[in-house]
Amino acid sequence: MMAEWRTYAVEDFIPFTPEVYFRMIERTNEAQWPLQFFALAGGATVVVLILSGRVRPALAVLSAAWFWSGGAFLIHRYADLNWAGVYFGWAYFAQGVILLGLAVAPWTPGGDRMARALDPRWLGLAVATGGVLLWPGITALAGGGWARAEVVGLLPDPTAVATLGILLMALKGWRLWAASVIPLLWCGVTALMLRVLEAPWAALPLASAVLVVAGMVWSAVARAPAAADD
Amino acid sequence: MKNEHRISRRGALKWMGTGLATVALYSPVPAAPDKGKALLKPIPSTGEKLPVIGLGTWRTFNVGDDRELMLARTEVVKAFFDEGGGMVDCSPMYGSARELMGFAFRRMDVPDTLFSAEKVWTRDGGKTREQVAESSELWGIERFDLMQVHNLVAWEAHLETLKEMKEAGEVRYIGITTSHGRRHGEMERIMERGGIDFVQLTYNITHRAVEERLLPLAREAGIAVIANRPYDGGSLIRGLKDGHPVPDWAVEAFDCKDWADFLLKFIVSHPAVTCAIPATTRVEHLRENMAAGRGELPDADLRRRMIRHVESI
Repeated sequence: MMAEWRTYAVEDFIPFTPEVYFRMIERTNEAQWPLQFFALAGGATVVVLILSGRVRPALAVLSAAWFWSGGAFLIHRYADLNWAGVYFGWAYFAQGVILLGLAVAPWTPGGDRMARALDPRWLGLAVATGGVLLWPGITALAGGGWARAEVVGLLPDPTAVATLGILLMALKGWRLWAASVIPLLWCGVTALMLRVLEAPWAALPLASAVLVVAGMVWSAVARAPAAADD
Repeated sequence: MKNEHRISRRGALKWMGTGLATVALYSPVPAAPDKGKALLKPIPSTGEKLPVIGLGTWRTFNVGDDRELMLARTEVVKAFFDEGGGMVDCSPMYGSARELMGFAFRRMDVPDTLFSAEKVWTRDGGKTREQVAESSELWGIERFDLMQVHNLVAWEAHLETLKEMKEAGEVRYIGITTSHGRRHGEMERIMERGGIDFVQLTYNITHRAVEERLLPLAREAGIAVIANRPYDGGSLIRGLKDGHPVPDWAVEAFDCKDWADFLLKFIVSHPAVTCAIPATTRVEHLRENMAAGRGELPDADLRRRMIRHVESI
């Protein structure tokens, strides 16, 4: 059985051509226009809320991004091309529930301001800003025009990347690790898919995930002596 | 190949009845040049002959509900039949490819040469008939010519039902498939048990493991062979086209036109192979593929030289 698994390549799990996938992004953008502006504003608002220490409303808004991109893209569109799309969509719903749960559950968010230097949350801010503000530009410039720009909240990749950054800024301890599992897994899945589709930015989701994991480890090490709030 | 079983024939006649404007709307395939005689090979279990080049649909025909791409692929299907094509192979695993076949057939006069090949792909061995019926509805045809068990998934239960369906005339031929060189031992055991008309497997000039056991067994057992992944998923022909001209000796020996001709003729010239099923999204590539189904085939000596040449690149 192991020998058989070695005969599989990532390509075997991507049952469509690059043309089809990127036209699907384009058609999704056409169908959702002008939601892109609201989504961008929403993403920026989440980052500002986190920076001002208002974690709960930020996580609530972020959960909506997961419900929307999971339902409107992965289940409604992507699943037409790939049977696994339904399962990916459910994973996005599960992440939405996790974020919503964190937004309403009885716990005390830290809310302390970031240190001027040597704070892993700066890494989070960099990744979140990249996911919200840079991702549409990167995918438009490298992907063939603004019609193919991928915007947080509407499409799964920038949603996962931005979420990882935001979680690193907002959470600590087991909550940070638990809430990051699905976005991290998605970054791995989509990086492999984008590589098969020969997207020039294929490495970015994985790079973002690596940065965030480094930040998570840094955060865990930095607070290890006084891990009192968990 | 019998046209009386196809809903699509009736559908096509209805479309014709509504006028040629429908055909004009979807830009008919340009007339092909003088094509020459298509090479045919017999299905051992009946002697019925098939064109040696068929049409695969993995990846290429999975376009979702993108109408522009659906129309573009319809042109590929039209060109396939315009070139005298026969077998179209599809699967429930290929996303929206089955829907696309129905979409294309509603926009053309489906010729009698169509040899519809589908697959059953579900771990639930009790759902054979249900999935065949679903595929039939999506294609818009009443009966498939060939129904295969995809990748040997739940093959015992599916084959049992498919044999019943064949006896009842609900499918004309049955078979099993694998790809990428997987599960050859199991495929061999099923072939030895008998009762199947076709096997589908990966065979191309760089993946020839089936020459050892499966192809000789297919000849011995009278089983037709469909070769999938003739271009190794596209990477083989892309690599060869990239700066490598077809060798002069191949041009002299069998009037080799291009690498598609070279690679496909290598496959279908194997005595056990009935047809190859290259997939493409483009009409010009389709026509290159179909051209390989005409003219001379290389003999055994030439086939060995072809292998040596590709291995030397």
